[in-house]
Amino acid sequence: MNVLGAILKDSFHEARDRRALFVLGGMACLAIAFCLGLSFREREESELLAHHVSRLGTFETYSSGGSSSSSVGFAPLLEATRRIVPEDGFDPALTGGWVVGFRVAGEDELGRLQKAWLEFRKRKAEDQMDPLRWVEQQLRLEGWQKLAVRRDPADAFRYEVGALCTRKERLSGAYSTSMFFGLLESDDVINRSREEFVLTVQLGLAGGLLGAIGIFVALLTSAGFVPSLLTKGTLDLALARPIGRTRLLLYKYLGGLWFIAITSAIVVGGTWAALALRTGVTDLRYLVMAPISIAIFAVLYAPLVLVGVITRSANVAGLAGLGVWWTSSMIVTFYDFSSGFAEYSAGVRGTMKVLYTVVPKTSHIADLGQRWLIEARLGGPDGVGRMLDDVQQFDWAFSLGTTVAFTVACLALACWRFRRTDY
Amino acid sequence: MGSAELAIEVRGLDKRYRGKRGVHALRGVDLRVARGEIYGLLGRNGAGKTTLVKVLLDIVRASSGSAALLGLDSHSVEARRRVGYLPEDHRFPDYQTGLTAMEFYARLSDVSRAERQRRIPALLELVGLRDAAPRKVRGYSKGMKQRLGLAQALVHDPAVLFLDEPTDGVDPVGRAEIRDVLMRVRGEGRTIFLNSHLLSEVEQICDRVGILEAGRLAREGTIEELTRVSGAWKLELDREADAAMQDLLRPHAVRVATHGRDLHLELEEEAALDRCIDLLRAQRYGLRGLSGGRASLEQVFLATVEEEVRS
Repeated sequence: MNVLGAILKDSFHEARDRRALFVLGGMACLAIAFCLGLSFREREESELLAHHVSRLGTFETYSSGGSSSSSVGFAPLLEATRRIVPEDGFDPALTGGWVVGFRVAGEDELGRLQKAWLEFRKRKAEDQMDPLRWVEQQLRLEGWQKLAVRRDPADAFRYEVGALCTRKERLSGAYSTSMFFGLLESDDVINRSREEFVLTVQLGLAGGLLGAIGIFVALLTSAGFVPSLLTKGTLDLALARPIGRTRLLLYKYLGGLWFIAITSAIVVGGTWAALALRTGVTDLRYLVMAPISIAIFAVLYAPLVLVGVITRSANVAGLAGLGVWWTSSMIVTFYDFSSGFAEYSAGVRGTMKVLYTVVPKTSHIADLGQRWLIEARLGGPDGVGRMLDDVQQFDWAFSLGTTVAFTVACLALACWRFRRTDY
Repeated sequence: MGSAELAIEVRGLDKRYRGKRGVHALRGVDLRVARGEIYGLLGRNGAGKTTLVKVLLDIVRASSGSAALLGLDSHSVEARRRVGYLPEDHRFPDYQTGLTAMEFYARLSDVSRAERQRRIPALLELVGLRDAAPRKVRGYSKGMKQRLGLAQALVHDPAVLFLDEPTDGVDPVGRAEIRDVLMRVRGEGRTIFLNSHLLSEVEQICDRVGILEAGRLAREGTIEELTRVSGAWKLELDREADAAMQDLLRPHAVRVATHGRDLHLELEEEAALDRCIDLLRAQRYGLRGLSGGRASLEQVFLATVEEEVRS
């Protein structure tokens, strides 16, 4: 423990000297400040109904990899919302709810909208249904459980939607959010509850900040750790100590992880605390993102250590780490989305299969963590269906197994090389 | 001397580096250093001195032969536990201060916290860095870095100390300071293995000296043994000895030569020296100085290197 403690402490000093702590600490502070600057306001039901109708032409999907949206230029002329009264002729079950009338530009405007939606969702043309039922379905997806959509018999361009909310927390966009201490209002309609709002922010922080920017900065800032140990004149001082070379290198590897672990803990813990302060949501399961990001870094740091041992250059090692990350991400993404290059020749399929097996699948580790978080936080499959819409199912055991094998192989090669080199 | 009494024992050590140049750095080196002894290894740059030390510390792997430190296989971690090393051109990481460097290397040597608290301030005091200890090493002078290097080599109280060019690049004042520290360390009964090409330093400190040339241990012995040259004397006179005087001396000497007021005599026996001095006094030559019987270490070193190159 004495030796490990020395190397961990030394790595921390080294990180501080390289300004790595400054960069990553600054990132953590910005993330925490961003969370502190968030606020949200409860929206009126009537406002939400009008909002959902106005956004029928905006299609969104959300996945752990991020959200995508498409807009087809639908601009209904909305009337003022009002309470449903018995004279409106809606189902009595909707009494107490809200009605909103809207006019569209053309007679088959809703049919056109539905076709665009089917294309966006990559659905078949046969799935097309009655436009009124489609609108109803879209509004159900927004969380309205009791509703009716009808065409004005007197006006072919005019429609009416009557809806009753049974539990407002389930309506998407139930809370409007603002960022940067009220400077920027968000038109976010995804969140149906405080819980979901916080989860969306947390997933964004985990995927964008920790999973992308964080890993990028961490790889660059830690690239010099191993080469600095191997500097002529420095290495002799360490090798003359009563410590085996394998142990020395593995401890140095752990030193890099230690520094990233501290930073991750600060980012995740800090943003969790800031969000808890602003929203009252204190679910601790978000903290799992810290070990997930450390695990991703641990995988990508292994080839960086190997190249560092071979070249003794921080620049080359850093580029190698980034290269492995980007290349493997591209291979894995293309492979997943092309279903194993099914449309290509047997040679290409075979080559890509080998590459896919060999490379680390860090994006799968990130997906696994985010999927677990969504499922754990939002309950059963119904609750998570929308948020995990486009997340593919992987063979998790295969992904994790091959990723661990890649990491171990890189470290084993690095140790072997380090042990047999004369310095 | 039995193996148990030896601090360092090297047998047939051979090292040929791989690669295009395939440098043959060590060629069957045999060497023994007793416990408590101060051994100086002399050699030109590239003679193999650093390679020999690195092989002993398992930093470089020998091609063949064996080495033991304090009776333990030199490859073993246990052997390195009892050995301190000041490498040539060592470089402390820039981010370390004198204090954190000492702490780091002490912990790498598995020194307990209590021992560290006791030894580190004492060593920093010994090498004169107590006040500079909180400062970053990057701001240290060469001499300070060398002294810190010496302190880190001693931090785990090693029985054997390897010093590779400890005064290289250090000014005369710094050199004297390092020599002082070494003399004090010597008094603690440690074995010191000193690699150097500074002959005066080796002459002042070492009990025994080896001369390494092209990977071979060409000569070895105490300073006394190496520099002893029987029959060579230098007499410093008050004036140059003229030809007549030299003729008078020739029957008593194997060789007579003058160089200014210096008179060089090579004699078969020491008694002949008295006869030569009597003759000089009789001819009213004044004697101002007398030295002889020894060559300087530098002369021995140069002669050895020359011999090796010739052979």
